[in-house]
Amino acid sequence: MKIAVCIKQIMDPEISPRDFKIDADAKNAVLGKNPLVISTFDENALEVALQYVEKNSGEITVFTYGVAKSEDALRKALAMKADNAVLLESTKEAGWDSYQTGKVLAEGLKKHGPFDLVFFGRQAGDSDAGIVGAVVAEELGLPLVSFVTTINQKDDKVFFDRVTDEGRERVEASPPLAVTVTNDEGNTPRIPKVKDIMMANRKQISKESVGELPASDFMEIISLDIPSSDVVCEFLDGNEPADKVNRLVEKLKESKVL
Amino acid sequence: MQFGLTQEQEMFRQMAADVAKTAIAPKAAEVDQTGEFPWHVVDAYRQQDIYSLTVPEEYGGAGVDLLTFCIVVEEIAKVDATAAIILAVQELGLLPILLGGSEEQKRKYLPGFGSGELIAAFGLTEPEAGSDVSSLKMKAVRKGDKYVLNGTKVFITNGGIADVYSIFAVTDSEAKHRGISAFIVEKDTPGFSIGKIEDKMGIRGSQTAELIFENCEVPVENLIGQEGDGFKLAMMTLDRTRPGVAAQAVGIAQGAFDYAVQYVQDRKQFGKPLAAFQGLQFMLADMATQIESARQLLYKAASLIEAEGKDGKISPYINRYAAMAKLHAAETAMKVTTDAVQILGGYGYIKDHPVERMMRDAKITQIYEGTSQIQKIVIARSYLD
Repeated sequence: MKIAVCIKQIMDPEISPRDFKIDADAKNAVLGKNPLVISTFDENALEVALQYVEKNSGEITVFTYGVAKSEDALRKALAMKADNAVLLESTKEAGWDSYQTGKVLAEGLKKHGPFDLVFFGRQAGDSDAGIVGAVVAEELGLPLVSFVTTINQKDDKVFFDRVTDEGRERVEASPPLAVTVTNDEGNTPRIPKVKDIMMANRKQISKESVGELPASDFMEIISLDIPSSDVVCEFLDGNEPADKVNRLVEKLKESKVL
Repeated sequence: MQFGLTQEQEMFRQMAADVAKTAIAPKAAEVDQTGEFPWHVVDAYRQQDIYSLTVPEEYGGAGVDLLTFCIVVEEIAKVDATAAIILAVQELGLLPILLGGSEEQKRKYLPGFGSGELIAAFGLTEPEAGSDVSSLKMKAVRKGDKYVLNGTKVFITNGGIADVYSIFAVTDSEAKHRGISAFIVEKDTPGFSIGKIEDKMGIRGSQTAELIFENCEVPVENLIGQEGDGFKLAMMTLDRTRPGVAAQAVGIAQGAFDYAVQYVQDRKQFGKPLAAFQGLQFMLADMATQIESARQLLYKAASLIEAEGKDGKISPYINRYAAMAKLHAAETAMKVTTDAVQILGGYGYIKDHPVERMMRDAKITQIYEGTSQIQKIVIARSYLD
């Protein structure tokens, strides 16, 4: 099985809220000294792909679209034991246009493919758009199985466990196809081992320039800001608990919560 | 001169931070309270190949440089000094074999140390011979194809936990420190037993024990190097492990500082966060500056020892910088953790916050592998001798 996993490098979502700042003019988050990591769901996707290959067989190539610094994300993916890595290198930070990102990734995948399974996180940990996987599937003419947690193979049939609004379901689908992955206890990303880190640093990363893409004609960010959350605390009067409950219900109705 | 870490070193740092966060930090307070040896930490090190770090590649290890090893120890010590010393002591126990052992001894033990299948310990200190190593009393008498060991070792980290011990004993009492030899002793050797397990102020999960040797016979092939090589081997080992203790100390200090920085921003008194008070800002500035200077001295020492110490070469600079790094890092750890407790006030003095544990843990870094006073003697002598 030939497998591709598409990952995005983002600002660590676990930084303290104090360290998260927005540049309103640039309409972007300020990186500052904050660390960059592989987007959370993308790491889950890589973990699902790795577990599949370990149980069955296959070769995993990791793709990312980004500036030179994105190489760090690929290097970590190699240390987690992906086989190959491709950097679709841009001279400028990729913008927020998921459609454009999807098209760049699709071109890279066509060039290195065809792949039997193409993995994505269900959404990026910064934009939370959840579009790229579907765009690439469309560009490559592949069916898409979304919100997958685990993949199992029995004979030549591939089964996908996925999360739905109602619960969980298992679907059977035949590759080639695209898969978006959501987090689950069973796909917590592994921590790279010492010797795998050493091997990863001896591997070549294929770098292919995609230059600076034209500004998106598809979408524009009008404004970007951190939502303010003013918390007001009000103590309710009343001698008995029942009085307080009545007052609370009134208040909630006034503020249209109930 | 370069000040940045390589991409690979940065990846090792991140790996250690992830292991510290997921496998070590959640139980650090519990381990401190019970004083029980944290086997889950050993399992995590085995799982991640962390024990392989400094074992050369030809013996199945990863063979990273000393600086990378120190970065890993530092990162772990930020959350738990006990876990950090468990890693650093593996290095202490295996180094006499790596530096002075025969090819056969290296092939027999180093792969097991690297996988973590074998846990190592280092037995030098005795009741009458602490800083004064030349006063060792423990005897090793050759009898045919065996050495018979008699005596007692104290304060041995990993005592009772380790599978293989590097033990120092006197083979020629006339020759003073040139009469000391080093031996490999396996845990089940008849005549070797574990005595008192110490109840310590800090690093409470790390087991510290007395080792008792009563007519303990070890085969002559367990002698490391030649008779009389022991003192030199012990000193060469300590020159290379002191940066590990310095890394532990820098990590403890950084962990306490990070906690204090969070605290001053959250805690409000007199209507404003503690961070707004200049008195506390000055304390934080001093703490941060001390930590950074200790770290830079450590990184320099580790890089220098790596560059100069190839093939067991002895350089006065190794000795000097290893001692400087440990001295400055240990003093910094004690100062910074004490200040962190002060910044947290009453909350710093109780076990609900980790700075109390960090302050107790920091103290040992001024004592083991040579007290701060011994480091000063080493440093001064490196200029005077």
